[in-house]
Amino acid sequence: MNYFNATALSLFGTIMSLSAKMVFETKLVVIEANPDEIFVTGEFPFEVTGDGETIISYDALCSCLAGRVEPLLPDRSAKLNWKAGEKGVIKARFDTSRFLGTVDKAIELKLEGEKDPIHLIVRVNVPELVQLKPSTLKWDKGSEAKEKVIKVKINHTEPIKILSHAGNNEKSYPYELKTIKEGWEYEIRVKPTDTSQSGIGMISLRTDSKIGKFKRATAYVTTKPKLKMKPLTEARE
Amino acid sequence: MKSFIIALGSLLVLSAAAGLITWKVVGAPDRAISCDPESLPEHHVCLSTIRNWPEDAILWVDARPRAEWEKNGVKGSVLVNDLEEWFDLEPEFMMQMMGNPRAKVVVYCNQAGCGSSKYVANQLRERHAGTLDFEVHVLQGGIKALLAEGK
Repeated sequence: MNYFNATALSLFGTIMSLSAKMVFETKLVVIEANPDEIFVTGEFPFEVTGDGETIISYDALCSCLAGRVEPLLPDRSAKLNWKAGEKGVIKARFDTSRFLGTVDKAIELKLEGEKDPIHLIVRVNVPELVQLKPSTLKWDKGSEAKEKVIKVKINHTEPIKILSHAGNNEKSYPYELKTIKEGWEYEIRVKPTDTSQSGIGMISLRTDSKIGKFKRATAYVTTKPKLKMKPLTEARE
Repeated sequence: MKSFIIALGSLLVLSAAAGLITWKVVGAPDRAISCDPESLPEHHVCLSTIRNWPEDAILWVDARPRAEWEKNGVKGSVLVNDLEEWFDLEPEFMMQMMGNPRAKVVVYCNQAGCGSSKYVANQLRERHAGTLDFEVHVLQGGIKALLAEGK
């Protein structure tokens, strides 16, 4: 009888914990970051249903992200035990300083009695202020050594000037930096001296941008044989 | 009470014996990370698919922290992550791709949800794949899939 009671109690407890739920309004927050905005915060409001919920952990899967459960307890620690009907928010503070373009990062939330963690995703779109199009120039080995152009465009409300530039293989890839509109638009014109041999080179730009990640930009140049093997397509594209 | 304990003990012994026999007959359990090519997110690829590609057609990119790459990164892999300055890491990748062109780049990180491999793959795809004619894939299961294969 005692064993029966214990089993029944255990089963009951399991069922009750399964019925508890932390219901999120959304599990994906999209943020359009301003170019000079280093930190952005995604918010995931939730409500607890059933018989309450216990948070085991809430870990950011990147050092660029910090999670926080609010409201905090009176002693400023995180509130991990939630009763039915209570509302809260998980905040994810994202450091954009190393990113460009679109980036997804997640807070992994583990709840008591739940096998699978919940992933709360912050999708941040970080504008690229200094844009090189294309960022790589390629000549096929043996082809005509035609001049090719990289366009440098400033996508900002304020101008960003190129302060200096340098190529690491100017002998094979001499280039000219042409100013189209100072602070807004430039061209890097490259004409290889010889395409009969494979070669590689880099052209580095330094700018007067106040934002660290836009102080530098790099263009690449290469001469290479055409790939013999066609790209395979087994993977879903 | 006594008979219950005996029954429980017998059950445990029989289960253990059955497990041992299965281990001996069938072999160790398959710890490979499950991966269904039909249900993968865009640009993701199963390790089993990669194993059908010529090895010299692949450049592996490790999107994990530097210490982990140094510890057990794929042989010949290049470190490109989102923890260090992009402009410091990108040149080594480009030198590899331009010096020894490969048709495929496979990026892996630690786990599902870390997001680093997806970010790095997107950046490489947008910046260079078109010009240098390579495909960029994300390894489903990340380093865990590679480690499980080795067991």
